[in-house]
Amino acid sequence: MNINDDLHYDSNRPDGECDELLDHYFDSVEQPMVDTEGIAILTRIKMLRERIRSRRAWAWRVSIGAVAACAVVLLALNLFLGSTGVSSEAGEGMLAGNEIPESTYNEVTVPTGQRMTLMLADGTQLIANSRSQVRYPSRFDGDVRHVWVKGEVYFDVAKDGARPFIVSADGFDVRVLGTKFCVSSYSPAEASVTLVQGSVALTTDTDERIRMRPNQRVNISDGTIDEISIVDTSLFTSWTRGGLLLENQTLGNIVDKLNTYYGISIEVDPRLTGRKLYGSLDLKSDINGVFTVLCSIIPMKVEAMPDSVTYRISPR
Amino acid sequence: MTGSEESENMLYRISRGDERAFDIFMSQWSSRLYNYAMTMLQSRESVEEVVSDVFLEVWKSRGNLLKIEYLGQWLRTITYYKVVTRLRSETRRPKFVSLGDIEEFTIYPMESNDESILSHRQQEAVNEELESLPPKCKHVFFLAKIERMPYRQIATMLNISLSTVNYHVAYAMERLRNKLKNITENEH
Repeated sequence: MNINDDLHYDSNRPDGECDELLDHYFDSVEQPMVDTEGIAILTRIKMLRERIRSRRAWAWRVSIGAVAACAVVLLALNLFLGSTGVSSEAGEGMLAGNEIPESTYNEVTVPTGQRMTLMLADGTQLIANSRSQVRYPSRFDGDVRHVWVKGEVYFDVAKDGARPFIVSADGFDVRVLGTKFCVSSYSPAEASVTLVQGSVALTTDTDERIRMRPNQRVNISDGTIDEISIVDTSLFTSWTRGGLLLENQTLGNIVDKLNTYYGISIEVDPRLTGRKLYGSLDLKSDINGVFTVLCSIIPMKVEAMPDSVTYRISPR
Repeated sequence: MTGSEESENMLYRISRGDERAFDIFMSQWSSRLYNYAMTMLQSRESVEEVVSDVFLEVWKSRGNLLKIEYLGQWLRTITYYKVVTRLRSETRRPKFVSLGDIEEFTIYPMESNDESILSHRQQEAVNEELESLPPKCKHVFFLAKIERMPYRQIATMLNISLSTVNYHVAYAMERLRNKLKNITENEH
């Protein structure tokens, strides 16, 4: 049976030689041959996408500039409203004695397809996504800072240990001291809070309480906590920079988000719902701009239904 | 030109943005990285995604390519991290990278045509014994003995100590030795 007695395995050999023999064997093993054509093609596609993305970086800078300009205008508007509010109430205050006038509330609704940056009186910055509503006082009186939101809003709360900041949404409240987080509550059945930095305390209408840690995301369904998970927060805050991060998400998921952002109803052919997308999507003010980009990535076509809120996506 | 000069020349061309050199680079490494990723992922589609992500990473950092000291270790490390990230996204686990994340590790069935070293039956016994090792041990053993990575590089890549690497390799070798002894004694 032995072809080569010098090398062949023998149970009487000492351990060292035995190991050497095994090493010889592992060296002589050939790696399975693999057809790597698919990998090369996939890499090429990703390289191309990368190139397009870096070109888009310029467009991004321009759109961030626009958002910043928008913020300045709103801040000015806010100061203006604030000051008129105070002056008119000052008169009433004199009539009613020396009571501190209650601050007026402002309410903002973000137009479809746009984002708005707001600076509140205490220095808290917030970015509200498409179709969101924010109600906030022109000044913060009393010992809490309280705002109300509907839709998706990113908060960068100014630190003030003495006055907690409270965000109320349909079904829950988030209480913070100073931190960065994102509240999404377009629908009370599918709301969520994503914490980027610091710590927040979440209380639901059914009186469930949880203290969140950074990178945690809590899903809330009709006032009860549904799921707590650890996430890559950039996926849930990318919209604040004007883009929707697609990284490894399916067309079905993306369409769900587009439906809420644009207040439309997109129907996707089941053959396409599982398609994965990479890169990021610029949220244009017009849904058709978004469709044009999607059509350039996926071979698909979009039909607008006569009711002008329903769209149908099918393979091309 | 020697092999390493040739490889350096290729890396130089890639670092200057030469896509044809990059194609050659891909054809040289994709099989190896594919086989490595396959030990942990077991799905052709996932593995192709991972390996193409690794190549994209190489292309994006091509400017620093000539500064990389151990190319093989670097590529395997990126592959390993991409695999872990992928496994985690599939199972929604927290973001800590550890060897414990790899619950399954399957080495492809090995075969050597050179029966002068181990008979066919002995080869089968070795494969079988390897498959029965704990996943972590198998992983370290695969990198050390089949991929021929230096122990120190394995320790750095998997974020474990050098003595742990030594332990896993020694344990696996002992198991294989004993297995060989048993079947050879039974044959006589």
